[in-house]
Amino acid sequence: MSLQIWIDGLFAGSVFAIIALSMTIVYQPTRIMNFAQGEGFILGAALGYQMVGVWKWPLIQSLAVLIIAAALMGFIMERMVMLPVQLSGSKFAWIIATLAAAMIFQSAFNIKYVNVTFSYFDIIEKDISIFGAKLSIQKLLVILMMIAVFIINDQFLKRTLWGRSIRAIAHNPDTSTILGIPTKPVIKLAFITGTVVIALVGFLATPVIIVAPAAGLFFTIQGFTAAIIGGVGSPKGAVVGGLMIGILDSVVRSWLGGTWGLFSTFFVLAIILILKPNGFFGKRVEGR
Amino acid sequence: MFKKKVIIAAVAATALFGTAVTATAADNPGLVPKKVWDSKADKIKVGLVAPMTGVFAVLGISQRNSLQVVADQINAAGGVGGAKIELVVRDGGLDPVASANHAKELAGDSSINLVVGPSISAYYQGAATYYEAAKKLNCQPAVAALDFTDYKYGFRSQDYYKDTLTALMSVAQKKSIKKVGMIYESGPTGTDFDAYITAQASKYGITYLGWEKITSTATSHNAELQKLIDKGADAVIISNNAYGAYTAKAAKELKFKGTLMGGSGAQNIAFHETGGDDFAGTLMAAPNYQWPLRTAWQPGYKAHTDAIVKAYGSATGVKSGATSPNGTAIAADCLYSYAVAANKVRSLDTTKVRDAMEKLDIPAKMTPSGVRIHPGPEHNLYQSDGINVYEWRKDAKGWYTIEVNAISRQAAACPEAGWIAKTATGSPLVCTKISGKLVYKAGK
Repeated sequence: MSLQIWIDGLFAGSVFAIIALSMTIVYQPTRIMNFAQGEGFILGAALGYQMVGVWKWPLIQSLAVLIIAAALMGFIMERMVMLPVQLSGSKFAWIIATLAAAMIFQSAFNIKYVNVTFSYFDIIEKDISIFGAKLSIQKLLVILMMIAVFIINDQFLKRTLWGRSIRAIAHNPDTSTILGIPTKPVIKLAFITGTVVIALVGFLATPVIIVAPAAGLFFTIQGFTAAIIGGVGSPKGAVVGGLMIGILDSVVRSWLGGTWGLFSTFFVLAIILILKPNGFFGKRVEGR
Repeated sequence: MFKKKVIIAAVAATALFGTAVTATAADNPGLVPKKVWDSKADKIKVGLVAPMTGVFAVLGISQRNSLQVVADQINAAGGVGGAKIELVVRDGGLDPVASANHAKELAGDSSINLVVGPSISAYYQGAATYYEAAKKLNCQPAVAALDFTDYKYGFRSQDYYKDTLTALMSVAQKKSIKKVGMIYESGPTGTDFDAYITAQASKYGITYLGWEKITSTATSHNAELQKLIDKGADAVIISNNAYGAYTAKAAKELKFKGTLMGGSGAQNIAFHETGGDDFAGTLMAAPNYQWPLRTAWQPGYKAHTDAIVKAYGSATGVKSGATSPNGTAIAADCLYSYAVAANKVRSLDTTKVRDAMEKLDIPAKMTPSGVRIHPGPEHNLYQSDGINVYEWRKDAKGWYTIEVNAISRQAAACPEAGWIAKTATGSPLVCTKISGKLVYKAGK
């Protein structure tokens, strides 16, 4: 099996890992797996297509607008999800709230981009050769972004006041509130940060993979699967889970054929859920 | 000057297609069928089930635009027997269940006269059951697989996959392509393609390397293409659907030196966007697609395409600069054929119109697609003589095609009894079994 297959798997795995990380960022203070998270990926792809592809804006200007738009989307998403959750009091309200948010964003993208598949130029149209296999700079940027998001998130949680607040809320939200930790702003920050992260990977990955306006739920499912395999709420688990399904899919497709890729991913997921119900790095969490 | 050019083009087109046309009692409905009788009906409802949103929305929107243009033209000319055509559109997405449900709804609606779609062979396979049960006349502009002799009420306005593959393999043989693999999604089209290439490849001196199946969830086709490269593939047949663009992308990434070969789906500019300049050289088998051809267009095709561009514009790839009209003339042919057939029998009765459609023979110069329509009992609006193979090329002026199958349509291997081809001068040939051997004989 050629090295190219492993490199392709590493790239796809990095995309899924970043999606899982962004879901973890939201999950930590809220205990909510946000099924609308993949729509942030589509926002990145759509704005990349619009600004870089159609309007030919400079990269820095496009990135600045993207970050602002993604932050706004994260803020709106937080209201769309947390408001029904807080008002209903049901411990299952988040499921329908996040799915509804996903459908609303997906419909909006479909209305705006009825006849478009997002695709635009690589930021740097260059390949590097690794023992005969090719790795484009664009793919390398996504892999580096995955490593950077993991490290920055880890340091943020450990070394900053806001990060420690997130960990405290994740541990016990009620006690955190009593101790004066601003739960609601922290949750807002988590939604905004998570959406900016996933929008950035959407922006970077779209020139490599082909993204349709309605593909948000697909990316959510991949990120969700990665998070479950690695352990829900664990950044380390998100990275391991993402890389695992990306590489597994690429290798199995090359080995057994295309239709086996998805099967193998969910087969491994089933095995892991039996052997390690909380994933590789997850902790047992009581439902709320 | 322009008028002179149009006349020359029309004369040239007539000369090209004239042989076959004059040999039969050709219909002469004009570019727009006019009111020639009174149906006493107010309206004719035409259903469309197609992906109007999502990754393959380009197909549904193009189909709707083309149907609307023809409907508007016919309505302006008095309608079909005075009845005005009205479109009823349903979004099936890339969802076989939703598509089948919409088909079921329209099949059960007695006010619907004709249904177009659901496109994609696998989806139609499910929907056809409802159409046949309800005796609903239907026409399919993007169904390449399946044998339409199985359907009493279904017509295909798409190149039949056997014609497509025969044309492609003939050109491949001419280009000394020896090893061919296929990357296609699982489903009836892939299955039919695989079986046909397996059976026919050796007749063209081709070794078939097999079918690499793909799914809609794959974000790359590198693994599948790499397997075929490792087997020494000179050419790869790619999906007609949006997923073919992933293979074009993989070919670019893996610097595939061979040839990509596709059906009419390869006119989708998403393929140029993802494949980049490496998409040049790709072979595309399709009914007439003259948009990127730098020669004169068929009058009917020109009239339809000009109307599409005027009403809906054209799409341009932000990356490749490739363009395509926001319509698909093969969908227009469905409604055009229906109107001509209804006018011919002066009836909107389903069975009468169906029988009339079977017997149509409309010359290429008149139809919106620029392809001769003569469905016959096979219910294929286009026969093998209507299939072209184009090669995508790019120069300083942008993307364009050249037609490369003049040879293939004349001297293709004789694949099975009943196969129709034509000589260099356009005379029809019929593949016939004589003393156990398949040979061409002159005939209709």
